[in-house]
Amino acid sequence: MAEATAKLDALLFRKTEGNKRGIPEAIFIENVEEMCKEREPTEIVGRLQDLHSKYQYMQSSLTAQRSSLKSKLPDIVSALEVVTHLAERKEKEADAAEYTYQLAENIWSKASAAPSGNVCLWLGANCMLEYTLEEALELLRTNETNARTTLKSLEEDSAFLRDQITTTEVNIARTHNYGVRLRQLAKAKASS
Amino acid sequence: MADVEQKDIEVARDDQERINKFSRLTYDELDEEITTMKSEVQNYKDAVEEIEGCMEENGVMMKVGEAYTLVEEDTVLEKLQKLVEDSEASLSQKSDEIEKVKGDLDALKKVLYAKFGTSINLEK
Repeated sequence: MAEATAKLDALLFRKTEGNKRGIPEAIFIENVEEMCKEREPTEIVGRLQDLHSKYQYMQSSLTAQRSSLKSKLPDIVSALEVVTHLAERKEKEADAAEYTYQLAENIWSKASAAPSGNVCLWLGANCMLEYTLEEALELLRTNETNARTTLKSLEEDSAFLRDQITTTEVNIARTHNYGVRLRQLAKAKASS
Repeated sequence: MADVEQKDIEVARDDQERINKFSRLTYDELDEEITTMKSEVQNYKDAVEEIEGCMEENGVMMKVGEAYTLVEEDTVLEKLQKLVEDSEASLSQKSDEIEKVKGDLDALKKVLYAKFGTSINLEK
């Protein structure tokens, strides 16, 4: 039994090479009739539905990763903006500037800041580190580029996964319809 | 979702590829992005108008990250000008993108409907 299932699986999907997050590739069933010679359509539909739900699980995980990354990008951009502003002030050797900042919800306060060559970046995990402006800019720019690259590869993987889902859905529909047709034929034969 | 209900028409590999492509193409997100961008551009333009109209001598408060600071009018206007230009450029790029997606979708629809007729549903 297990051997037969493994044999069927090999006809329905295969492992992919390269960096695809281990998403298996769904195989398009060229000939449904051929596939159903050795096994029941319902058996094939069952396996395909298993595959389909696995794909859907992967899709939800990819979507979650993508939206969390997308929400982080504006933070990086905003931090970059601030550091660029500080660098501009340093360059102009401006006087101390006054900033209105939010102290708490509904409370704004003023702070005076002299141009400085250093800035502290919040690294997360209760940790803050002081950088020179140049280093901070470099770090933030690298972070931004990395985030965009990751986002792009996530999008590519999502598109690939989308194709596999669609192929599987079409396979399910075709195999299912073939099964229905077989049963109708059998019924017609029995009643005649 | 490409929902295929096939009677007697065989789905060939080419068709599968077309259906995949069709299912891949969506423009909901692009639509959303374009709407946000349009309102961004409008906001920047409104800001320019406001600044030009308010005649404040000491400059205006500009948002830097999460704080505000006093900045001279000319500097702010310059920044806004750049923001408007950048947003308009990316807006027109996105508009081109969405037009292309819509065109591709229509072309695919034509081919798929021609072959499968009513046994395929391509409305999203």
